[in-house]
Amino acid sequence: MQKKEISGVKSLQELWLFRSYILGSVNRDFSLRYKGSVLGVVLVFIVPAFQILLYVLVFGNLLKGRLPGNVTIYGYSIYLCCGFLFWNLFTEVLQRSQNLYLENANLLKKASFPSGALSVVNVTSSSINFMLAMSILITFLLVSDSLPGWEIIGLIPIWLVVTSLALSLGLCIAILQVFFRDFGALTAIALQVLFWGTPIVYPIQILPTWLIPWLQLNPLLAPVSAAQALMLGSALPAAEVWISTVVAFTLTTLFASRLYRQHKSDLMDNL
Amino acid sequence: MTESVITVKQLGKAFKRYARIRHRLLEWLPGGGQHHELRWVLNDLNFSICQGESVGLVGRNGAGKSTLLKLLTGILIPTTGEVHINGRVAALLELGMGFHPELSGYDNVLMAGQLQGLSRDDVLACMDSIVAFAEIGDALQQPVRTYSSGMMVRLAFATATAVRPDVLIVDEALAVGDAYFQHKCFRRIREFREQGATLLFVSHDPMAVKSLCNRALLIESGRIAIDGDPVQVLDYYNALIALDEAKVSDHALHIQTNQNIRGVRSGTGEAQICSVRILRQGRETQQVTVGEALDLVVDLAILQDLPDVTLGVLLRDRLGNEIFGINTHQLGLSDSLRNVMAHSQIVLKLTIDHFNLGVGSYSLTVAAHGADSHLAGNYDWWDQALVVEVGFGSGPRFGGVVHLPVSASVVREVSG
Repeated sequence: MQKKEISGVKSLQELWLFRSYILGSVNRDFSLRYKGSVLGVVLVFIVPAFQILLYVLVFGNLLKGRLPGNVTIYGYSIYLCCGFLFWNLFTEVLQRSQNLYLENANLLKKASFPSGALSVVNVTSSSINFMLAMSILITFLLVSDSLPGWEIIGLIPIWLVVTSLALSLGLCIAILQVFFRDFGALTAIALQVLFWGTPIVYPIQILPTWLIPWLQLNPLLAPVSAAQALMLGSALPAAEVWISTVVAFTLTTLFASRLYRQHKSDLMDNL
Repeated sequence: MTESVITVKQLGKAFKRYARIRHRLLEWLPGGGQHHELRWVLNDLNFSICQGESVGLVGRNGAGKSTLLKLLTGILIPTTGEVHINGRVAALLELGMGFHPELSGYDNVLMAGQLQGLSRDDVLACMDSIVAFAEIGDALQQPVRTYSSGMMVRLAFATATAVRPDVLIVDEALAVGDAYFQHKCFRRIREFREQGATLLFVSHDPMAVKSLCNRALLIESGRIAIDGDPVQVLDYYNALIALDEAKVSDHALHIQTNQNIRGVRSGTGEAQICSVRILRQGRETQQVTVGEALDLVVDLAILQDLPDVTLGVLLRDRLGNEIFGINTHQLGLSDSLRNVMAHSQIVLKLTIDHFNLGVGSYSLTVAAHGADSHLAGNYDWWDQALVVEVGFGSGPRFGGVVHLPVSASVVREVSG
C-alpha cells in the first residue's frame, strides 16, 4: 500500500517535470486543428455558437418543442444544448483516450516520457473545448434572461465526473485496443446505444415507466440529468441514480490500472 | 576511479509470439493457460560503461542492437535483469525523434525539447544554435512532412544534442545525412566526449566506430560476443561475416531446404553443384589480392544420365554488374562433358594466372545447364555462391574494377 502511494507521488512528480511539454502540446493541439484555415481561432467559437443557435431556432421558434413541466420558449433548446455539450465532452475525452497509444505510437517508441502526460493533454484540450462552448451557452442564457443563478457552479463537479468517467473508460479501451483492434469498432457501436440511452434529445418523462430503472444503469444518466436540471432550475436526480455512475467509475479505474500493470511491458512491445 | 554511468545486469528481452490473436485473449481469461512462444532477442547481457567512455555497438542486422538501445532508454521494459543509468540521456533512435509531420520544424524542435523535459524558454534559448547547426534555413517554418530525410535527421540531431547530455545514444541515424553533415556530427560528438559525456553509438561503418570509440561491443544472436578494443572487435566482426560465407559452402547440399543461408538457388536438379572454392596455392580463401594466381574449383554431382552438361561461372560486383563470365562451352570443353552418367562426379578447375580485378567485393554465380545455352535445361543455378574480397597487394594502386597491366615511363624535355 505504502509502495503504491510512493509510486503515485512519483508519477505526479514526473508529470510535473513534463509540464512544459503538456502546456506546449495543448497549444499545438489547437494550432494543428485550425492550421490551414483563414479564420483560425475564430472557428473555435463559430462552430459551437452556430450549433447552439441552430437548436434554439429550430426547436425553440420553429418546431416549438416544449419540455413537460416547462413552458418557456427556450426550455427545450437549453435542455438539448446542455445535454449535447456534456455528451460531446464525454465522447471527445473517450475517443482521444482510447486512441492514446495507437495514435502516439510514433512518439512513444522514440522518446521515453510518462504516457500519463498524453492523458493530461487530452483532458485539458477537451475541457477547454467544452468550456468555450459552455461559455457561449451561458452567454445565450444571460442574453435571453433564462440564467438560473449561482446554481450553475454545480456544473463544475459534473464536468469533473463526466471527464473522469470518460478517461477511465477510455484508458481501458486504449490498452485493450493495442492488443485487439476489435475494441475500437465495438466502442463505436456501444456509443450509439449509450447516446440513445441517455436523455439528451428526449426528456426522460416521455419514456414508459418500466424502462426507467433500466435507464438508471447508464452511468451517464445522473450527471447529464443533473446538468440539465441545474440549467433549467428543475429537480436534481435522486441519490440512487448516481450509484451506477460511481460503480462504473470505480470499476473502470480499477480495471484500467490492473490492465496497465499487467500488460505494461507487452504494451510497448506491441506498438 | 571513474563512476559507472550505464550498468546492465543479466539483461534479457523476449517478445511474446502468438500463433493467432485470439490466443492472447484466451490467455487473459482466468485459467486460460499459456499460448505464446517466447522469442528471445537479448540474453543475459552484463556490462557497465563508465563516464567519458565512448562505446561502439556493432553486430549484424537483427542481432538485437536496436532493442538494447530501447531498453537502455527506457522505451521497452526488460523481461529479465535490470538497467541503471545515471544522468540525462539524449537518444537519437531511428529517424526524426517522433516528429509530427504536420507541425513546422520550429514547433517540432520545441516539442522534442519539451519531451526531453526542457522548458519552453530553455528550448527557445537553444533555438538559434539548433537552426544554425541543422542548416535548414527558411524550411524551419514549413511542415516537417515537406522535409527530405537528410533535413529531418539534421534537425533531429541538432535538437537532441542542443544541450549537452550526460549520455548520448545514437542509432544508425546519421547514415542518412551526407558526408558533410556526418563530419559535422562527428565533430560535435567528439566535443561532447572531450567534455566528459558518455557515448553509445550503433554503426555499420567500421571507420566511424574506430575513430569515435575507445571500446566496442559486438552483439551476436542477442549476446555480447566480444567486448574490447574497437580494432580487435571489428576484426572479429569481419571474421564473423566471412564465417557466414563459409557456412554457405558447408551447407551447399541443404541450401534448398534451409532458407536462412544466403544465396539464391534454382534448377531442375538433374545435376547439383556441391561446392565452389577459390584456392590460393591449394588453400581455400575468400580474401585475395589484385593480380594473384588463383584456382577456381567447382564440384558437380550428376544425379541422372545427361546427354551433355555445361558449367559456367560469372563474377558480379557489389552492385550486381556482370564483370566476367565464362563457361565450359566457350572454353572448348563441350566434348569432354557429353553423355555423363548418373552418380558421377565432375570437377571443373579454372586456373586464373592473374586475378586482375580492382579492390572490392565480388560475388560468384555458378550454373550447370544443358547444351551451350542455359535455356536448354537449367540443372542448377546458384547466385552468390561465394563472395570474394579483393584487396591491394604489393603492386601499384589504381582505381576501377579492372587492372590493366601497365608499364610507364616519363620523358622530360626542357624547351628553349
